[in-house]
Amino acid sequence: MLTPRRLLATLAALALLLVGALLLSVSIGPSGLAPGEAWRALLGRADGAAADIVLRVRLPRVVFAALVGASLSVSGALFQALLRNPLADPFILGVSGGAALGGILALSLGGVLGLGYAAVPPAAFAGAIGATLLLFAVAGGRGRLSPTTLLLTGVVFNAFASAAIVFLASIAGLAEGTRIFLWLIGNLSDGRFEVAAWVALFLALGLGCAVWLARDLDLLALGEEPAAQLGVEVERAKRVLLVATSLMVGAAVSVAGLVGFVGLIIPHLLRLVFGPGHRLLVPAAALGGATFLVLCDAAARTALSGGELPVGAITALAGGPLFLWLLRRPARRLWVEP
Amino acid sequence: MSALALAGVAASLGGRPVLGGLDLELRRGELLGLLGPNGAGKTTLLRVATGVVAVTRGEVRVAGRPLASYPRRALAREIAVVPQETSVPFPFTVAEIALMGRAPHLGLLGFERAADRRAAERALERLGIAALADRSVQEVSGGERQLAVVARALAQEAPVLLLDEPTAHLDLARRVALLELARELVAAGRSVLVVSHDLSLAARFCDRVALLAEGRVAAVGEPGDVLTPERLRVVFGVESQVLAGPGGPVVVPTASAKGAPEATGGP
Repeated sequence: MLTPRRLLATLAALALLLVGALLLSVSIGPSGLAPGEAWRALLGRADGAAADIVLRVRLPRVVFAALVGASLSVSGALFQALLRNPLADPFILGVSGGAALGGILALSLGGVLGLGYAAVPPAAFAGAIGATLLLFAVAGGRGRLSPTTLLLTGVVFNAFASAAIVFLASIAGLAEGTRIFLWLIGNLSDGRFEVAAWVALFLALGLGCAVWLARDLDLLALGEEPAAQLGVEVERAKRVLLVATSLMVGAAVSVAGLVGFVGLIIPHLLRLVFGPGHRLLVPAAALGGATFLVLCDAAARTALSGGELPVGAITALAGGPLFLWLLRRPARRLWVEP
Repeated sequence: MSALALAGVAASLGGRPVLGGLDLELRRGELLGLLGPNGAGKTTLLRVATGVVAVTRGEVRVAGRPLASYPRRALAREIAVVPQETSVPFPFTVAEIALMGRAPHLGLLGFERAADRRAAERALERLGIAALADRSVQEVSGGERQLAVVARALAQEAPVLLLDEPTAHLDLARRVALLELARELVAAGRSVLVVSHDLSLAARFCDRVALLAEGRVAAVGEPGDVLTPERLRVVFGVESQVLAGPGGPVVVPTASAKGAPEATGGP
């Protein structure tokens, strides 16, 4: 049984892991700064170039990675509970694609309408909401989809969103083709504190809602009617959680692009270790997702000498095989038909 | 006073009327059997009684108060439901499923206390599945999963218990054991409504049975008075003999009735 003590102990252990990942990630990078030097800079005991590199480049970047990872991972856990499907993930379902489409629409029309970069996050949020609503409309009134329909909807929507993004970017003369490419595959090169603060705000809102409704998520996993019969205000909970996921996905995608699979991998691994209860799973997904993306980003920054990989390439390399493995598992584990 | 009362209740599913002006009372401390052919509205009646399907006409009262006056959580403390089927997409353990019955009793922080755990353990022991407590519900048999859901409803400790074909996945011994459990609950002052397709078993254990046909109560009363060959022919479309058994009437269907009613399909 989950007690407050067990919850706190587990989260403390995961938080330690995250701190370890942050320290590791801050200490490595293409500049060839010695790790010891980097840590001294972190403690304010270095100056000049080392301090600049660590405090102005690496630190904001790793914090940014942690926040994006947490947002995507928590969103994945929420979608899986709401759709009662362990394969759900904002990227696979096309919700990230919707957010990206919204963001690029704002960017392309921005010049015409005189909107600045500030219009991107709300537009990405609107795109995420739109894609989520579309998903639930396809799912029908009872909120239950076969995994096949769900995945196909996501695939189709993602393909459509990617095509529309490239099309819009071309006609709007967003000629920086590389930038669009990086955004489509997901990257963290925009890691500044101002941007991280945006993501942190929406993560706090979304995570707050999810933690508040965590027990309801357990009951919703049994189905909407049983949940209602156990005292859950189902419609209210669903509305709050859908807005929460859309906020988190919209914020993360508007700044980092289409980083895939975080929301699939992390909740799944955590469920294997800690069980499916959401009072632990939701906050653990935040810490685990943050740790995972910080480590992926460290790998992305150091894998190539003299350049960096987009982090989305790393998460997809890890997530693709896991997804296939999940698909191949016996069906009763994925989906228990009544 | 009645634990649950439906007065003139009508309800529709997807625009199709399922219940048409139905009166039924579940008395305090009684075991009421709800019988009827597929599509008669038995499951819809339970859904209306828990407010997940709205009435289009009439009124439902729970412990004398209108259903609409209950917030969801308060209602879940009054009525526990065991649905016909339960699918669980995540590997919750049997114990975790039973513990979910405590959800309407939890405080603000949402953590179970020792008393909640004991309630769940008692329920598992009473159903004889305590040994399965740590097994995933995805890995136990269909009958055992059904018992885990019954344990959840027991742990809810609500005065009213609604069981929708709880015996469908169970073997003979467990069917009898479950109805014996229902009798125990009733003896302790709770009120139980059980939907069943096993007329003889219902007749043996229930204080009263209600026969539902096409969204209306065709007959309600003591099993011996309700279960007559004439009624079974009209309601179920079967010829049958009703024999005097050791604890009540025993229904032996013998043939389809001529001009049997068309299948109405769907619950």
